[in-house]
Amino acid sequence: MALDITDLKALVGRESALVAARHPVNIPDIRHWSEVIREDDRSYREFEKLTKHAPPAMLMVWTMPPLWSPETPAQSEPHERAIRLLEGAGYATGLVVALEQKFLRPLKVGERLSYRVKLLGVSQGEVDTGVGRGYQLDLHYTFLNEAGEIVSEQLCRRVQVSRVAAQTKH
Amino acid sequence: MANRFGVLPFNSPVEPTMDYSKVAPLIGIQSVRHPPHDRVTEVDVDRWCQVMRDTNPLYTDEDYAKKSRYGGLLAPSGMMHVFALGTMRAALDQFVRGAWEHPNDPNVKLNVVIEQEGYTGVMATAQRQQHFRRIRVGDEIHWTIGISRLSDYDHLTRQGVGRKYQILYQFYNQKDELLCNQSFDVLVYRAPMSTRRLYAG
Repeated sequence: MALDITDLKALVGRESALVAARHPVNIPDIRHWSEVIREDDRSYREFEKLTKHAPPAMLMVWTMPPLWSPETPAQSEPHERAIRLLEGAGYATGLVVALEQKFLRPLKVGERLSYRVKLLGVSQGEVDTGVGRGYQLDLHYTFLNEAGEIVSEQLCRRVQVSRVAAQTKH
Repeated sequence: MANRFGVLPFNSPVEPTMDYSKVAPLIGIQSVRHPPHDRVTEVDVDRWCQVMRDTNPLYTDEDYAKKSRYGGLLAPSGMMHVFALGTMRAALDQFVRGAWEHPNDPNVKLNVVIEQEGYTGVMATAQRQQHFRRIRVGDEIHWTIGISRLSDYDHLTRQGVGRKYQILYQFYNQKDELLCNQSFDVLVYRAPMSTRRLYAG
C-alpha cells in the first residue's frame, strides 16, 4: 500500500489518551534496581523502613507495557496509527535513534504514574539513514502522577525504514 | 605420573575412590535458617504471572482473593525458590570471587571435599517440590539447606565416573510453618580424559 503523506501529517500534533502504569512506584522494584545498578546489598526490611523516593530513571520500569496481558492492546492512538501507516506502506522496521529525557523530580513511593504521547512531527519526506531510507517520527512523552503533576518529559526520535541494509566491510 | 592433562599411564596403580568418611558427617544435617532475599510482594507475583501467563485471580485480583477461603492474595507455589535466591552481590561473590555467602552450610562443605576428590564436573538432574501450605502475599520465607543422601560408591555414567547426591531445601514462613520440601538431585563426576583434554586446550 502506497503511503499517503497527508494521512500521516494529519496525525501530527495529536496526543494519545493517558496510559496508566500497572503498578505504583514501589519498594520491591526499587530494591531490585538498587541491587543490580548499585550492588546495594541492604535487606528488604531496611528498604521498607527508609525508602521514600525512587531514582527518577526508574520511571520507565513502571510505565512500560506489561510483559503479557490477557487483553490485546487496541493500537489506536495517534502515534500508533502513524507507525501502522508506515508499516503498511512497507516501512516495517522501527528503530529508536534518540531519546532525550528530562526528569523534573524524584518519584515518590506510592505514586501511580501515567503517560501520554504526542506525535510531534514527521519528516518532510523520506530520509537517508545508515540502515536504509525511511521516515522519521518525533514523539513527545509526558509522564504524570495521579494528581496531574508532570514528573518527566521525553522526546523520542524514531525512524521507520523499509529494510535494514547493514553495510558490510567486504 | 600424570601428564599435563591429568592422564595417568595404563600401568598406574588404581586411582583411589572418594574417602566417604570425609563427607559422612555432612549427610542428614540441615543448615541454620537463612532469611529471605525479598518479602513476597504483589508486584513480584504479578510479574511472575505475566511471564507464566497465569490468570488465576487468587494471585492478582485482591477483591476476589479476599472473598476466597484464603482471605487474601496468594503467590503461586512454584515461586517458592524465588525468595530464597541469594542477592546479586552473593552471586558475584560466589561465581566471580569464589567466596560463598554461607560457608558453613553442609552443601558448601560437601562441595569443597568433592572438588578435592577430583569430581569437578557438576550436573543438576532432577528437582521435586512437595507443598504443605500456600504462600501468601506479605510472607517472609526463610529456608534451610542440607544433603539428604550421597552415593557411597562410584557410578559409571555417560559423563564419567561420578557420585549422586540430593540436596534438601526446606522453606518456612514467618510463623515457622513448613511450606515446602524441595529436593534437588546433582551428579558430580570426574570428567573423562577426552573432556579434560578438550578443556586443557
